[in-house]
Amino acid sequence: MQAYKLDGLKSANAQAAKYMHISAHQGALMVLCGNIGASFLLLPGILGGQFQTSAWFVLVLGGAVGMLCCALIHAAYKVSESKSFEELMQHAFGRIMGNAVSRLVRLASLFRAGITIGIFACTVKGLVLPRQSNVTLCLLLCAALLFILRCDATTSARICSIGMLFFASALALMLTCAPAMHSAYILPIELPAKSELSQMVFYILFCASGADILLYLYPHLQKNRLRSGVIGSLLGCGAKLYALYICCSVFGFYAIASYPFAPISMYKSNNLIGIDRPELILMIFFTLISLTPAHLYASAAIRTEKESKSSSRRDLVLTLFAGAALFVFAVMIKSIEQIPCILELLGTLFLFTGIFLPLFLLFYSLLKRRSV
Amino acid sequence: MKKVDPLICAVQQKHIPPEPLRYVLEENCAALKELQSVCQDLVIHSFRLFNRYDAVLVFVEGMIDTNQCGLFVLEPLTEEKEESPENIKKHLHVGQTQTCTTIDMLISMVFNGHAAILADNCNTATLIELRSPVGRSISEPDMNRSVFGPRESFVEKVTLNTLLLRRKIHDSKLCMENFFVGRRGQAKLVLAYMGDITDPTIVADVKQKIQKIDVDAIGSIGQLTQYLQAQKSTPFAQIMPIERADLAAQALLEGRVVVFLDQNAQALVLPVVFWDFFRAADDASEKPFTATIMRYLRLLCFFASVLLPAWYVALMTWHPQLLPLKLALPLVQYTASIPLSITAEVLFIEILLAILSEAALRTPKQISQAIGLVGGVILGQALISSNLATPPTLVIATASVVAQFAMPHYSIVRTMAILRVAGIIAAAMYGLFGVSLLWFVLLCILAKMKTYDIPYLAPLGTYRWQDLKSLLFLRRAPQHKKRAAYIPVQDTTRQV
Repeated sequence: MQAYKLDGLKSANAQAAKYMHISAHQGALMVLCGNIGASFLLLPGILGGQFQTSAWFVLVLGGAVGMLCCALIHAAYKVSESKSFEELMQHAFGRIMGNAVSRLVRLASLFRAGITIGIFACTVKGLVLPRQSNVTLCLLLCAALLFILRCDATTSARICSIGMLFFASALALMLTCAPAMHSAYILPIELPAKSELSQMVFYILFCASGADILLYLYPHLQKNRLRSGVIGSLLGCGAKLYALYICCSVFGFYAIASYPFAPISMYKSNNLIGIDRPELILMIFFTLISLTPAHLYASAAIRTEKESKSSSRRDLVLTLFAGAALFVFAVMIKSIEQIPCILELLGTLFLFTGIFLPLFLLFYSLLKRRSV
Repeated sequence: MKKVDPLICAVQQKHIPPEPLRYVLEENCAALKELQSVCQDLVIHSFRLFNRYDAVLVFVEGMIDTNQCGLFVLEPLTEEKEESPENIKKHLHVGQTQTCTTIDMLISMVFNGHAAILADNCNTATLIELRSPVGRSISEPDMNRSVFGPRESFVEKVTLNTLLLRRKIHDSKLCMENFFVGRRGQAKLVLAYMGDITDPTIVADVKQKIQKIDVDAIGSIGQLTQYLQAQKSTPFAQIMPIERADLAAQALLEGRVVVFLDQNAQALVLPVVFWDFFRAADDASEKPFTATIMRYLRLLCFFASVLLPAWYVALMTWHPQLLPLKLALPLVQYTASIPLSITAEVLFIEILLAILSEAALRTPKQISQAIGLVGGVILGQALISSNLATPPTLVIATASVVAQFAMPHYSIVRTMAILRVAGIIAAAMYGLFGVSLLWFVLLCILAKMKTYDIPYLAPLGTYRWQDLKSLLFLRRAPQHKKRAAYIPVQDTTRQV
């Protein structure tokens, strides 16, 4: 009997070990999850309102920049041969400076997570709970997030995958209005005017954001499938582009400006289900979809190799600190009118963490390798 | 108890001094007779071994099969032979035999259902397992009922249960390891697994958990579950109790471990994931298309049972505008006529139904039918006529309770009741947003949970699309070539 067990150990453990790493599919979904939150459903309306017939350009370019970000991060890790995010930073900036930069990047991630919660709280308040204060909703959402903040990368991957399943269901639910729409509603696709391009930059960057999560994820991807993981991430960016396009083409451009939750107002008048205000049904899916990016960024921000070996008390303190920081960042958003500015701010943040930083890391590693 | 060997287990019973057995039979009998004065069901039967030596047969009245003892033990041993008393085992043709050298081991094993033979001029005792066949015969299962397939249910006798399993899998690689748990109870526990399929790390983990059990006695399989489950503080079941040998065999061939406990008519299957609780015994016997639809129906029942009352409370309290006018008007009319709020009304009916189902469960079958009738028809009518509940609320609450009983495994039913009440409270506080938030936390906790290092929601959210596909769509038996990858196994091939 012992012989069977010993023969089997290798394969059994190899199979079980797959749970310890993020697969290519999961990696792609996590990149896709990076900015599909409440803002994702608001974005088509905002883009439609600002750029009308040339809004598609923002989406296409956003997807392309996201893919560029994935490629840059992959190349940076490949050239420097670092095994963790900290190591990558220390490799480029030295020990003290590297730690400082990595902390700053993590704080930026935490800020992004907090903002995502704030946007969702505003959306919920405008949609269903007008009498509740923003602070209460943010507190509730941060408390809910606190439960699952301290988890490993594979758990985050599973949460993302399930979140995406819900997103697909929500999208399918929203698309039930498509047959009722007339083709005349579809706006023509036109190239943007030169004057519009400068306004588009930050929105393009926001559409691309989410790919920068690969900075933390890369060391957790299955080692023998790194390339497919990155290809998957690139596909994830492409899928996001496609999903955004669907949302835009179906809802975004026809949004009623005065309605606080514009993008799905079209659904209200054209759905197949036949009940009033069916967008509330989406609430069933909303929380998971909307909080997934917040969870992803926040847990990535506080998950480090060093801290995972620390004591449980330190873990608790760190988690509580992260929860408090999330709450502070979330309550900064007071009304839905702030959201376009916030999207621009997040786009700028992505420019540094998703483009400049990987670019710098790549060039530095290349130069260092050449000099050696 | 910590040791695998029952004889070693017995040594640890500190209330009996570990004295070695003597060569003189009278000295050994003196200790036994002292015990007999307080345990008067202990029988010490004297006979002449091989018609040459004085010997005694020691057993507890009723615990051994006296017919077998007479035929296969006493009859061959009393025949005249030129044989030494150490060689008794050669002449026994029944049961499992062991040798013991200390008086405390002897007493422990006798009280565990063994018969012991002590002879003069011999400082060892021979133990024979001759458990009495008293017990229930094999019948149809109460829990895992099915239309197709075998209907043999486990009984309270562990040896019969393992025999049922052996009759399903005629393979020498079906390993069965014996343990004795409980310092005083000394209940026999059998750990069954396929030596060339099950992941050894899972087997080792289960063994470690069993060996850590240090309690007076384990009476029920439910108690054992609490010792074996990987995550302690969760309402979700991580171990599945089953009643049928075919299901146990199926679980073993999937690379799982099955645990039997003596005096219990159920076996435990582990590790299991969340979706296993939606698999019915009939699924494999039915056509894949029909079985898939039935599985979706069960899933629908799960969500309807857990979410229907919460949605009702949320819609009626916070978002009545979501309802179509033709539905909203009569609902508001009904609600206006009762003194309780919607939340209180739903909770009141929930509690009433929980009391009714609990009463029906605990009372004899004949009375439980009457309770169902009184509860279902008369009480419902009385509630409406006394304006304590509205018909829509009754419909919602009853539908959600009936839906929970569509689950093929009872372990999940209690969890559903807890989730339902939590959902009602969340809906009362923050409407649909509250329900959504509660489910966000729940889903994330479920995604975080692992049972024996297997993600609890696997294959949902894990790395293999093939497994996800097999979860969503059942396949025909010839197409089912690989074992599910979410449970680590040594041999992944099911059929070529």
